[in-house]
Amino acid sequence: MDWEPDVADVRVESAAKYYGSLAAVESVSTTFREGTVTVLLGPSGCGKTTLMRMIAGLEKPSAGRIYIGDRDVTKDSTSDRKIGMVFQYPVVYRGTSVERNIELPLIAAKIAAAERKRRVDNVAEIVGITELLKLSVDRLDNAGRQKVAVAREVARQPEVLLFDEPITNVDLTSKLELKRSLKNLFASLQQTIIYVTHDQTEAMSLADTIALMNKGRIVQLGAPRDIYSQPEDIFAGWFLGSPGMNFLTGCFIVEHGQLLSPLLVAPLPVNENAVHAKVLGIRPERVRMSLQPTDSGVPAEVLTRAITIGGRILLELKVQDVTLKAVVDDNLAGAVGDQMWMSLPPSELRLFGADDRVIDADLGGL
Amino acid sequence: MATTVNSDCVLDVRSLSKSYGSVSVLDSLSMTVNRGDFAILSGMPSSGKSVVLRLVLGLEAPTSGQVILRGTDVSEEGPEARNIGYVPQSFALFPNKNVRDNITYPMRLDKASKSAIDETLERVCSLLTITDLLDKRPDQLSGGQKQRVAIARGLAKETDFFVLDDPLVGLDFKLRERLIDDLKHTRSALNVTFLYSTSDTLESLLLATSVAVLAHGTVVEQGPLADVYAEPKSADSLRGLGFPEANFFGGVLRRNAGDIRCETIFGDIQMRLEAEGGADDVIIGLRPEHLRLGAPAPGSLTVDAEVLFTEDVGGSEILYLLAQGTPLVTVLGANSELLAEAKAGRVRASMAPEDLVIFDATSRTRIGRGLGAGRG
Repeated sequence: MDWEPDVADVRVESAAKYYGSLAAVESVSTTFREGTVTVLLGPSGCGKTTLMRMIAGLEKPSAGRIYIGDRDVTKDSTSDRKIGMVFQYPVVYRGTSVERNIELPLIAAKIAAAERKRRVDNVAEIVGITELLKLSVDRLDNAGRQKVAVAREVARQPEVLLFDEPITNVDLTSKLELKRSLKNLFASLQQTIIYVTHDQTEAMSLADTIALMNKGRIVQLGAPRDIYSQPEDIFAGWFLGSPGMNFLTGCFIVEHGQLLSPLLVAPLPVNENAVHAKVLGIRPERVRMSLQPTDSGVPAEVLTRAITIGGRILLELKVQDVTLKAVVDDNLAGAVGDQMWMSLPPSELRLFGADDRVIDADLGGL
Repeated sequence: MATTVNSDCVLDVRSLSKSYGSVSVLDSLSMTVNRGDFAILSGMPSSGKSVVLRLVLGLEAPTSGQVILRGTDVSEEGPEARNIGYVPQSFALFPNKNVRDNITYPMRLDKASKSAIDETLERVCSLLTITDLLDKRPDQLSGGQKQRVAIARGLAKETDFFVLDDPLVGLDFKLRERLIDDLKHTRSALNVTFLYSTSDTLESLLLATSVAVLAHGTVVEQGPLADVYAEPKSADSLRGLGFPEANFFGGVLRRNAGDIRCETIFGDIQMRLEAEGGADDVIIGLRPEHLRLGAPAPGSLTVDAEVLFTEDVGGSEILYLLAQGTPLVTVLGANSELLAEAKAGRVRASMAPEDLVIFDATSRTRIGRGLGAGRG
């Protein structure tokens, strides 16, 4: 690549935003690394958009500081922060060509014609709009216009690129194409990219790092797969996955360094932290099911069955008084009313305390 | 009018047509809903689902055709006489009334007794876990709570049959997941029958006991979900039920006496037709789970493909492929050892010819399946 953009980390220190007594963001401290795509993910009202708007300079923090590289930009206006932003609704200059749309900010910044052309051609190629350059943006659909908006911000070569739910208002058939286009683009950029979405699939597919937010805080920061398989609290286990993690209460006790449960054929060795456990968690696709008795399996009755993603089967199971969900291949799924045998691999179990946080219990000595 | 009475059948819609002026929306649509079904009316957005429901409810009159409810022809009856519970798509709650009054309003309008109202209120509120919201006003509720209140209002009716018009559309993913569980549980706890429309594939799959597929203004197929999923009789059923959406590619049959073949991206394939005749232009469908990666099974056929994009949906990854200009989709488990290879950009995909479903390109009805590799 012949890019030479300026790059910089974005550092947020104890940033908070209050609207009256309502805390939209509560004391968030984190660093968004240059060259990585961080997705702020969470349900509506979790504070993700407010946090991004503070980074952009569109909201003034109630407390805390924001740095880009070693510059404290807390008091700087948006235009002084060297950021690019792509919004939910594509912002384009109507009545002008795609090329002109991308070029206008470069002309305003007095960049030489040859360099402008180089940047426009380069970004158009990556975003996949080379063939559209001479067309009027009026002729494009929302997905096409969003690509133009993305290309324009990228061509300006800001240090930081912010994306606020850029796919949300694109129709279903174009969503995939736009996602692909963004994925390609992100792979070729060296800037700091911060991307807001409520859509877990979008986050899992585009992020290097997910910052999972709930109630104004970042509850977990990590690679998508790590957050998915090692949720640090109940919210993370619930929010990611479809369906989310099973959370089972009142179905186990911990004593003498062992966890005992009717869901397990044998006691599981645990460390002393486990005495604080209140909730046992396991992902539905990690529950092992068999149509025949197994050494590690306890009897489970199939309450409901449904077809789910990729033709796999979602079972609702009853084991004594406990109900839980399992996702299995269709050749391994019993019919409603059938008895099956269920085993919960120790390495897939997570214990959570009364505060909803995960407990490092050294489950099964693993 | 004499009607055949089937006590298992709650709703029997016969040859229903509806036109607005010269625009035909529904054309000779027939479907049945059996007692205790969670019946899904599945169709693309603006395929006419809401119109079907409004005709069933008696909110609109059909241009022609009959609606037979609980064994009686109600085609000429108004909505009150039909006694159907209704959860509409948009959930307009009375802003000045609390949750209790919002939910019980229709029952009070029906002049139900106080004890019946109290009993119904308690039942629906406990099912939808909104008992502690009864004294709140709508502006004090979250989006999900409002939706639950709206559903509760529709369900607060002394009847055995409910119509729900896409009640979860526009809600966020996790909320829908929870409400899907609630609705399933509610139907079986009340021991009633639901007719429920949606254009969301996963919602259909997770809720349905039976399904009717609406396309081109008519029900192209209906039956128990598992049957329709396994043996779709229409290309629209295969497309509409299944996530991700099934793969389709076109083809032309070559007939030589009893030997019928078709050239595909997987090479020449021998076909087994279930009926004689028909045109030679076909649509070939293949479910994503039947397009496999890794070592091909004996008898299966392969194609080399470029991996365009992978989408991580948590428990599994959806792979979007391009093979000889044809887009294909398949799914791998999130832990699959094949994922690394796939992400490197090229794969060899395979399928068993018997998993191919062949449809007439014009009528979109099923005419056969793949049989094996065509030789020579």
